[in-house]
Amino acid sequence: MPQANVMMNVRRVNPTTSIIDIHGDVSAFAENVLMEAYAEANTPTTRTIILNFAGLEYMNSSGIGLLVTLLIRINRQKQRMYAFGLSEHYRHIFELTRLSDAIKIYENESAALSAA
Amino acid sequence: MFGFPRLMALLGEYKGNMPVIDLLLGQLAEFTGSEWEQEDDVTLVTLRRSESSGESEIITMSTPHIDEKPGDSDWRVLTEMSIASEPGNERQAMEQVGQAVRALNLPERRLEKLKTAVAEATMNAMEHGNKYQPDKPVTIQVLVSQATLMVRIRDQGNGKPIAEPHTPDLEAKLAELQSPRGWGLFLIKNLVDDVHVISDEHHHTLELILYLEGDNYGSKKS
Repeated sequence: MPQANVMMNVRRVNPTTSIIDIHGDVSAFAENVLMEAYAEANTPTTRTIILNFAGLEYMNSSGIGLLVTLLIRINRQKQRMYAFGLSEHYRHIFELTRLSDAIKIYENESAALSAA
Repeated sequence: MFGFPRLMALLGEYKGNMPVIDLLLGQLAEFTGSEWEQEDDVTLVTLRRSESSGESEIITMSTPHIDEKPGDSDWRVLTEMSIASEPGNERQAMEQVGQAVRALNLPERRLEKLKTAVAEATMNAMEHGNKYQPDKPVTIQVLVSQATLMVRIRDQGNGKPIAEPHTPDLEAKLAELQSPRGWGLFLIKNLVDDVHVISDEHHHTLELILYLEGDNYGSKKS
């Protein structure tokens, strides 16, 4: 089984908002890395998780499934998920799958933070 | 009638520069013309003997749908590859297909869509068709005609019919009424202009179609 070709960096920008910077591939191999990043990002006061896709190199249907799993967890915690940094192609994928209905997409980090 | 004499003559002239089944189907499409309505199945079988190992390989293919558009009988093979069925190898497939079609100068958006569809179809073939057995490769052919680009992805799925999955519904998934997974075929169907699914006794084949011109060009724009 190949290693996960992904790194995620967590930034707790304030008590209610955390950003997860994604670098690399979001595929089935990213499951542990993504869930560990969420565990680090999630505090008792966290209300918004922002995913930074500016470093995304590749995402496949398994990766989309992972995002859905993460969304389920976030919804259970009454939190919101935002995203920014998506390329045009992956924005289109988010629209096709209707992930863009469940994850608000912003142009950049400052726009996402302003909305959080 | 196409007839045995014509078939034998074609095989006699065959120089091995493209798969013999593709040659014959192309000739058949040219013979029938675009207005012909196919009533019965056409199945072609080739037996290939390797001189070095003495092993034989049987390739069987039912009629692909390459006779749908006028002028599509003149198919050219851009590349053929064989991908070991190991997790992650779909990236290799999508990059090689991307390289192979570079000369066609597809718009960047269409190229990205094609590459994602190829990756998803290859992943499905490796996982569901070949059960991730590395000794069962996925074979990929990239063919182009004047009006159409076709990527043909074939696994060794033993002829079991490909199950049509539920159309993924994000709300149902978030409500945990559907699995979070199951997006692959949905993506494929929405990222290329047409998809043909062909099953025979030994293989599953997906043909991903991008029209290069005409009314159906970029028909999946959304």
